[in-house]
Amino acid sequence: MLARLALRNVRRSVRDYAVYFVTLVFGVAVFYAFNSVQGQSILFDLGTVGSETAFELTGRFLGMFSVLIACVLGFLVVYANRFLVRRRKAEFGTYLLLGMRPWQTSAIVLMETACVGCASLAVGLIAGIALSQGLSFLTAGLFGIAMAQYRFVFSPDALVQTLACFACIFAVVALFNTLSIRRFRLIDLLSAHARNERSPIRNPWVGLAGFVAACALLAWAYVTLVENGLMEFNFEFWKATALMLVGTLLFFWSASGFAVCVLARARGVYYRGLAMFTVRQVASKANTAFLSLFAVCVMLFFSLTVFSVGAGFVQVFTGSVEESTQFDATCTANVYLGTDFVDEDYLAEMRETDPAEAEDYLRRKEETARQVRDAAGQWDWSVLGFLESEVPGWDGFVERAVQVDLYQFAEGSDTYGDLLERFGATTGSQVQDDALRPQAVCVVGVSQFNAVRELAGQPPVDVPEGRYAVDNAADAAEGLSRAMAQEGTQIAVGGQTLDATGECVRQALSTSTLVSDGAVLVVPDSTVESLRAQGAVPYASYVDIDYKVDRAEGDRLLREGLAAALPPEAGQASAGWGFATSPWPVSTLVTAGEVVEQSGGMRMMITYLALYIGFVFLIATAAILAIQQLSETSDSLPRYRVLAELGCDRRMVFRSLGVQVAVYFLAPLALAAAHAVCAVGVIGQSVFLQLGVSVTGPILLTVAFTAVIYGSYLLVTYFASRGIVRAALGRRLLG
Amino acid sequence: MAEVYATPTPAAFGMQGPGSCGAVPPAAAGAPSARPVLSVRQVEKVYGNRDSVTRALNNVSFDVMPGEFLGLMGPSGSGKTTLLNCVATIDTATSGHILVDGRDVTGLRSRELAKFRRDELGFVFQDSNLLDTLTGFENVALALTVKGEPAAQVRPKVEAVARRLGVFDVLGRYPYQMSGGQRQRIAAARAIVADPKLVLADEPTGALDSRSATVMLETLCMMNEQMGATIMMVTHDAFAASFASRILFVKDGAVFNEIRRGDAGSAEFFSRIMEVVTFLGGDVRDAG
Repeated sequence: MLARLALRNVRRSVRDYAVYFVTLVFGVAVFYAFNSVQGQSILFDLGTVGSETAFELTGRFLGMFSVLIACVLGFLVVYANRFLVRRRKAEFGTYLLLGMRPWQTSAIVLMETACVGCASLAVGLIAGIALSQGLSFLTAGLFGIAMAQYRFVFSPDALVQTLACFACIFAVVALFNTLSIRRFRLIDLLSAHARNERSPIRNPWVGLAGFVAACALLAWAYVTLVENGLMEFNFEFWKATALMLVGTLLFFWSASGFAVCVLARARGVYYRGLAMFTVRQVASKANTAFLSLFAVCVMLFFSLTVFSVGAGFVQVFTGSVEESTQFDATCTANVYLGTDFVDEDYLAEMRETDPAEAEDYLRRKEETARQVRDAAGQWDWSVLGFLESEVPGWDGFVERAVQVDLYQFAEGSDTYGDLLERFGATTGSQVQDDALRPQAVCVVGVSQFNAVRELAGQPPVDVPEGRYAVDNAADAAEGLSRAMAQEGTQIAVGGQTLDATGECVRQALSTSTLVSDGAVLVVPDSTVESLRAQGAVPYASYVDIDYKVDRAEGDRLLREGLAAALPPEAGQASAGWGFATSPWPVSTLVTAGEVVEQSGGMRMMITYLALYIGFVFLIATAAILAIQQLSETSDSLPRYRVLAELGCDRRMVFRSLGVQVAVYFLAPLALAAAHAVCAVGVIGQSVFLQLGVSVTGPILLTVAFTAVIYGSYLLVTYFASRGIVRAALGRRLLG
Repeated sequence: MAEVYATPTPAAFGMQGPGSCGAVPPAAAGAPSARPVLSVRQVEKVYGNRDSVTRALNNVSFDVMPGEFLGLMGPSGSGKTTLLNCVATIDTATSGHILVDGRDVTGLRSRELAKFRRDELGFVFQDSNLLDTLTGFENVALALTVKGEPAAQVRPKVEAVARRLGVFDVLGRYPYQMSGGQRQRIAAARAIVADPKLVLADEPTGALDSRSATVMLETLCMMNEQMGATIMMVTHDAFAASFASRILFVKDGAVFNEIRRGDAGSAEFFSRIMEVVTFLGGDVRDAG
């Protein structure tokens, strides 16, 4: 009997339940899709490409977000449910009046909730699964990743998580309903429809104080965030987060009272047309719905931040990939690892605990250095010479290859520390400045440099005797490099003082995942020769190669050739090395194909996540706002009727409606945008600036993206509200 | 006979008596040449289709002169509210003409109708129809602001009207913080604050207890006599009607009878009304 009643109720109040249903479906779909990201085959594919670290990080981020999202979703479901119960107070009153017991009424509501809950859970899961498949297809298609490894992904973990999370939420809802129905008094229930939910505007002074406090809290949060940066999740980070949450909540709690208080004093504005009505409408709505406005604002903030940061990272990988793949492949000899590198920490520790081992360590280092010098000496430090003669079939697949040697000769050279100080420059990061400081200025001979330029299809640079030009391909070192290249500047290299030619070019010296050649001096060959004469050896050598054949074929032949020329030892082979890696002749091999693939993978994963979180969250919040605003409009129909009777024409009524919708949508967006600007700005300072990406692009992209999605929801809501009012009042009344 | 009428006899409440404030003849009475504020000419209102036609109004014609307080009485279903709605331009007459201050409103387009309503008419409804989100002050002020009244004049005008109507003290309250009588008087203030040509009142005392009802009716009388408002009030209550200066009786969509207070005293006017009501049929008390 009760079950039949419950079922009929659901059918009867389908329109009311739609709010609840849509909220739940969105919630379940987002939650499932979000949590199944880790199970996405597309991401496992990436794992094989070698972005395990990034993947792991992503997982950690997701886990962190999931907890928050569960809370927000829980809140939204409880809110939607509360809205439903409120709308039906009179009906529950009738049940009680007819002699039904409170527990029976609760049971009916419980069954209704369960019924709608199960339906929306099912629909939501299907939507979630479809969403996750669709998105992985979409992104895979977008970035040209082969679908060979694609299979239908169903993540049981995500399913269990989703079910558990929503079972909890339903339990809370059921408890909430039972308690609130028991608490109702019959008289309140029966006269419920006659009265609106009344929450008079809060005391203006309380509103004012709350608003000021909210602004102060938010300012404090911003300052904390700006000072702390966003590099790690430490106490300061959580403090800023907590301050921001509390500040935002207080902001919405007090904003309506504050706004009414201020606007009512601005007579010129307040006493004009329907301004009074509009202000009061918005204020009364904000007063009752400040909690959901808060939640919406937080979700919007996530959405905006995730999207702009994601777009920024995509730019990092898109922007540098062309510059960092000017050559088909680069073999790098990290000579310094063999000749200069001493683990000072280890040495210091051993000197304390085991002086014998310290001596031994130094001896071993010297031995390695000697071996490297011997090996390189045999070939007169020509990696290229070694490769040409030792790699079988070299001439068969290599079109052209050039070697670049980089020198850092400490004696008689300026260090970067000197230069940073002299020009008052910085790389924008304390850590990087500190690492750079003790290093001697890095130089490269002009003929080698011009050979690289030629290989890259660039005009050569002219460096007369006694002069230098500057090469910089790292944005972080842009300021320093420009200062170094200023005509009239002098820099000491190996005891010789060189004058700037005034030229500063941008040329990556190798193919790599991230361009890192910054503030390199291009010096005359004679200077390099004099360094060599003083006993300098290159600290690193690149051999940049262009293939005769296509990249895939060339990569294969080069790998095979290297394996033949430098057969790996058992230990190296088991660690995944295809050749014997050593400080000289070849430490690493990076091919353009690899870099493109890797950056494509990273790009795809990040876009995917950013889209996932940003997009879905944005749509969910916009939909929730839209539903709330529509139900608000239909609740307010009697008021619009009064307005029409008082002689307000269509234009006045619709303008008021438009302002209400706009304020309701834009207020949380504005605050969320302020938060996001702060957070993205901080991330931009601490991350993107280092990677040489400006945050303007991603921010503009986010603005466009938000404007399109949010804007269209806003417009749809406005026109739908207009439709509701027009249909209810008719043409005659609504002139 | 007496127990047929639900309307309490005034003596039962110890008040001055019915229609106590309508003693002064309307200003128009002495100047028949003045142009009527409202002219209703052969108005018909037909609902339904060819098979089943309901004539809500059947060839109704009457005039309301400036400064008159007209009562429209009739049992439920007589068409009195339809008539009011047609005059209020909320409903459309099927045929005939309604002239307000010499201007035919039946031909107005919907945009002009809204302007007409806010410039020429004031409304008081049974359930006050105040906006629950606005304070009393703002509810009254709204009638001025939608008309485009200069902001500086809003406060003095609202306060002046509220003082005269005895609701100055409740201006800062929200409707739900007021009593029913206060709400109705705020609604009356809203109706008259913009100085309309005609105030339309639809059962303004319908939801009030008798004490508040009397206060409300006295307020309407005061508006009529001292503030010069022309009022057309629809009611089914003979006591309420006895405050008017002239009463039209409507039955089955037609004007059935008309009585004027003239120089009659309150009690006399009330008993004359009762006579007509009795003649109309005892079902008046079921109305509303």
